[in-house]
Amino acid sequence: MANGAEQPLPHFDVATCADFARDLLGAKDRADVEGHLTTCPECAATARWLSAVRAFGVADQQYEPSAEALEHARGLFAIERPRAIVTSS
Amino acid sequence: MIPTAPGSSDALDEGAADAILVRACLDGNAEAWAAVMGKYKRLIYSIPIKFGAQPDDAAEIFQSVCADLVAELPKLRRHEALKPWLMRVTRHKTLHWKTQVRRESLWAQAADASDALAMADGAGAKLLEDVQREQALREAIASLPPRCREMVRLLFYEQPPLPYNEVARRLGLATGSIGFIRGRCLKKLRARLKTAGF
Repeated sequence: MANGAEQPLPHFDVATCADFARDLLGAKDRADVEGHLTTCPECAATARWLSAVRAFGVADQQYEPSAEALEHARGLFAIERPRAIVTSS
Repeated sequence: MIPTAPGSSDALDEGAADAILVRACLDGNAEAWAAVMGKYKRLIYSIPIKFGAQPDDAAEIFQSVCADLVAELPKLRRHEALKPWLMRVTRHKTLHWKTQVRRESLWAQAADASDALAMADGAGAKLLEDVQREQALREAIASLPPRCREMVRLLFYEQPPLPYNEVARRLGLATGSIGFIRGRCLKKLRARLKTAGF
């Protein structure tokens, strides 16, 4: 380098990091981002939280109760409608 | 009178505070009960699933917890204690289910008891930590403005991931305008996750 100092690489924007987390990048772009993440803690942190949200979002689908179970739970309220306990002063 | 304006912080939706939802439930508001279900259904259901229950058993535990909640809601002294209450009761019912299932199987009863204890103490504690962390993420997403919330769900929950033109179509946006809105929504989500300790 001319001045001997290493120039910091420009950060990837959050949209690119989101695409990386969502596995939407082509092979070359993905390799570019992966290479950058090894040297840029800031972008690595961004990619990490977006990947965590992505992993959570996909996994969370398995914790959705069936429509029947939800319907039953909603119906409970109509039958057993709770009332605040009124205490006399 | 409880405000219910959509998108406001006091709206009776998944983003509302527990104290507001519980108070509204006790006032007989079915919308508030639906919001409690929306907010906590996955937290409740995830506990038996993580402990190894099949969907039918998990659904039974889910319904049983909801029935207890309706009955116990008036006695919930601190309304903000709803989440710990749900976790405690669901865990208890799950461990009870697990012990029963093991007893009915060919496993030795001594092994059953030690398994249940191990699940209650060691691995169980880790699972419940995961449950709490996942719920914090759900609540961070639920606290976003409605359109951002929907965008985050479309961007991150769909498998395979949706292309942007499809995300735009489902949100009723022009494809060209999605970049700006996505940037704002992700910024808001990041701020909420930081607040939630992520």
